[in-house]
Amino acid sequence: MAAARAPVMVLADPGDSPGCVAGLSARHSLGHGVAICLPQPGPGSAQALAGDLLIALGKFPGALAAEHLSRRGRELAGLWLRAEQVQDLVVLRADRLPARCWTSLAALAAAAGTRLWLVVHRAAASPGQLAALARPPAGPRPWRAALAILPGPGKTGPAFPAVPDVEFPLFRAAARRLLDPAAFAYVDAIYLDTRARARACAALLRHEGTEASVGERAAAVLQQLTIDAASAGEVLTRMRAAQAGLFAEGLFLDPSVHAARGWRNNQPRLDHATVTRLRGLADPAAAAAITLTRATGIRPDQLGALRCCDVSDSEAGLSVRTRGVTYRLPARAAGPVRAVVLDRVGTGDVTANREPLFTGAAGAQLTGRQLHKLCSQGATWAGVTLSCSPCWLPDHTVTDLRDAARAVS
Amino acid sequence: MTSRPSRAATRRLAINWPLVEQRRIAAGLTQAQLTDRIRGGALTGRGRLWTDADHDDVPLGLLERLCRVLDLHPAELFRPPARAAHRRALASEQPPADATVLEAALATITVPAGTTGTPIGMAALAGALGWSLDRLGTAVAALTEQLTGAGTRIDADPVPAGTPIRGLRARDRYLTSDQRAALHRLRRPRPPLDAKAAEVLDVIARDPRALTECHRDLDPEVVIALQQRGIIRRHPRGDSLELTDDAQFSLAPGEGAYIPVRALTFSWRRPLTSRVVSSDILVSFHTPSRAGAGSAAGKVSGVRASLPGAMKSESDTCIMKDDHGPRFASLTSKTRAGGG
Repeated sequence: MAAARAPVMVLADPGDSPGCVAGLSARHSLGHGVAICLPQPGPGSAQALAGDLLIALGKFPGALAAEHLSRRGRELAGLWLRAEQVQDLVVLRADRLPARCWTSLAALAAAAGTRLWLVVHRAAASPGQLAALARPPAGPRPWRAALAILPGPGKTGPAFPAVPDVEFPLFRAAARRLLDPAAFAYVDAIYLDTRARARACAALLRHEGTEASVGERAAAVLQQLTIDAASAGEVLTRMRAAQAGLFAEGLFLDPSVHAARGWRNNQPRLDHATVTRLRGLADPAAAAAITLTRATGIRPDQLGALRCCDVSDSEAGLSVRTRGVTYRLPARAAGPVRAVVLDRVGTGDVTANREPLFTGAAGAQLTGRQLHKLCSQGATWAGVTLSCSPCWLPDHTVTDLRDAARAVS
Repeated sequence: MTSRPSRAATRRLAINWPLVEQRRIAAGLTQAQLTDRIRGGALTGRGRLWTDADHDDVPLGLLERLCRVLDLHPAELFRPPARAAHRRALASEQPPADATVLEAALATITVPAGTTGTPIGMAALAGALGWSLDRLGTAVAALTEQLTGAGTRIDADPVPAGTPIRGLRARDRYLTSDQRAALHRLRRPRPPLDAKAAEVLDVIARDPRALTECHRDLDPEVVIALQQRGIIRRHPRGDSLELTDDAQFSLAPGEGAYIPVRALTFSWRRPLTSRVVSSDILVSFHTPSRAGAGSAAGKVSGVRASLPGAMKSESDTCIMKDDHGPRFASLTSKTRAGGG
C-alpha cells in the first residue's frame, strides 16, 4: 500500500499564493489519514520540527513540555504518525526547513508508511534539500495536483436528530411518527444495524462458564453496541435497538434497574469533542488509559492488568479483551491505544506479547494507584472527565424470557 | 298523510365503543372488571355488550355507571348523530394554527400552583399531539413569539410542567379527544417496563393467539399496563391478545406480519393498487407440525389472493410477500386484523 507509493513528493507554489495554504489546509483530516503540518518560522531544529509534527497530529501546543516529554519529541512524532495511521503528511513551507529536516521527515514518513508531500513556495527546492532525500523525486509538481490525490475535506453527515425517549417496544414506531422521513431513514439505518448485531450477541449473554458474570457480559455487549454513538440521541437509539434485538432472542435487558443508572444517562462515551481533546495528549500511556477508562469503565487496577496481547486491531477499530469479555473502541478513538501498544512492542506481532500494556520508567507494571494518578493528571490536561458508565451491570439486568414463557404458556 | 320515518332509523344513538375501550384501558380495567364495576354481567355478557350494536334496551342506570366508572360525560358516550357529525366536520374545515393548539396543550399540562409536576420532554409532547418534532419546534417558536409581548416564556425542553405558566388560554376545544387523553397521560409518569411485562410480551410476540386477558397465569395488571402503553391490544373480534401495529413495527422490523393460518384465501383491508393486483404473491410459511419451511405462490385477483392448499393447521404461521415487499393480510374465514 504505502510502499507502492512514491515516498516523497515535492509540490511547487512559485507565486506563494494564499490559495495553496488554504486549499491544502482544508484537506486536514486525521480521520481520513491526512495531516497538514505548518512549521513555525525559525532555524528549523529537530525539536521544533517534532513539536510542529505533533501539533499536526492533534497534540496541544506545548504538550511535550507540559507532559515532561521534550526529550522524546522525535520518537513520539513517529509513534503518533503510525498510531493515527496517517497516510499523507503534507508539510507546508518546507522550503524554509533546512536539509536535515527534510532527511528527518523522510525517515519518519518512511518508517510509518506515510506519503510525504513537501510544499515549496518558490519555483523549486534547493539542491541541498533535494540531496538530503534518499530518493529525490523526479521534479516539483504543481501544488494543485495534490488536491486531486488527497482525500476531499471530510463531509460531516447530518447531525443525529433528537429521538423520542420511549421504551423499546414502541421506539421505532415513535421515531417514524415524530421524525421527518429523511431523519427517520438515518435513525432507522442505525437502529436496524444495531438490532441485528444485538441479536448476534444473545448467545454471549446466555453462555455460561465464562469468567465474567452475566452483568459484566451484558455491560460489555452494551458497550460494543453503543460505543460508536457520538450524540445522546444516537446512544438512545442504539440502546433501544439493543433491547429490541435481545428481546427478539428471548432476552430482556432492563437498564432501568437502580444499579444501572450509569447506563441511563444516554451520554456518548467518546464523542468527537472528547476524542479531539484526548488526541491532544502527547503521552501515549495517559491518552490510552483515559480512552480505555471512558470507553469501557474499567477500574485503574483492571487497566493495570491489561497486556499487549489483549488488544487486537481491525478496520472497524480496536478490540480489548479482559476478564472474559471484549470491549470495542471506534476507529476515531483507536489512536491512543494503538500508540501505547506501539510504544511497548514496536511494530512486531502483539498477539503473543504478554507484556503489561502500562509500565513505568523501569519497565514495571503500573499499579492501580499509579494509573489512577496518570488518568487524573491526563484528564486535567485534556479537559475531560473520567466518569462514565460502569463496566458491569447487576446480573438481574438480563432476564431469559424463554424460561419464564414456559410457565406462562 | 305522510308517514313519519321510523324513529330507530333517524334518531338512534350508537354507543361510542372505541372510546369506551380506550377509557377502559386508561382506567386500568379488564373487561371482566369493568363489567363487575357497572354490574352489567347478567344483562350484557361479554360478547353482547362490547360487540352488539343494538343497545336500545340497555338500562339508563348501567350507562350512568359506565360514565361514572370511565369518567365520561354522557354526551361522550354516544357517537354524534350523522347531522351533528356533518356540522362538526364543516365547522372544523379551518383547523386551528399549531401555535393555538400548542397553547391549549401547555395550558392542559400545566399543574396548579404548589403542585410538583413531571418534566415533559419535547418528544413526549410531540407524541401526545401527534406531531413531528419539526412541527412542534416550529409551533414552539411561533408561540414564543406570540407570548413575548405578554411576558411569558416557554422553556423548550423539558416543558415546564412543574411551574404553572400563567397567561396561557386553556382553549381545549382546539384539542382532539385523542390529544386530550394523551396529554392527560403525560402528567402521570409510568414505571419502566419490567421483566414481568416483558415475559408476557414475549409470549404474545411469538404466538399472538396464545394468551387472552383471562389466562390463569396472567397478572391482569401487567396486561392492562401493556395495553395502556399501546404495546398490546385485544383482538377486535376475539379475546386473544396481540401486538399493536406500532409494537409490531418496532419489535419485528422487516419481518412482515405473522398470521396464523386457517384458510388459504387472503384479502386486503385497503384497496390494492393496480400494480400490486397484477403481481404474483409469495407466501412463505413455517409449520411446527412439519419439519422445515416452504412457500406457495398464487395470483392476486381483485382484492383476493388464492393459494394452493399448503397450510392446514391453525398453528401454522405465514408471512405474505409480493413483488413490493411484505404485506399485512387478513384471512377470510378466521378474520384477523391487517393492513394493506
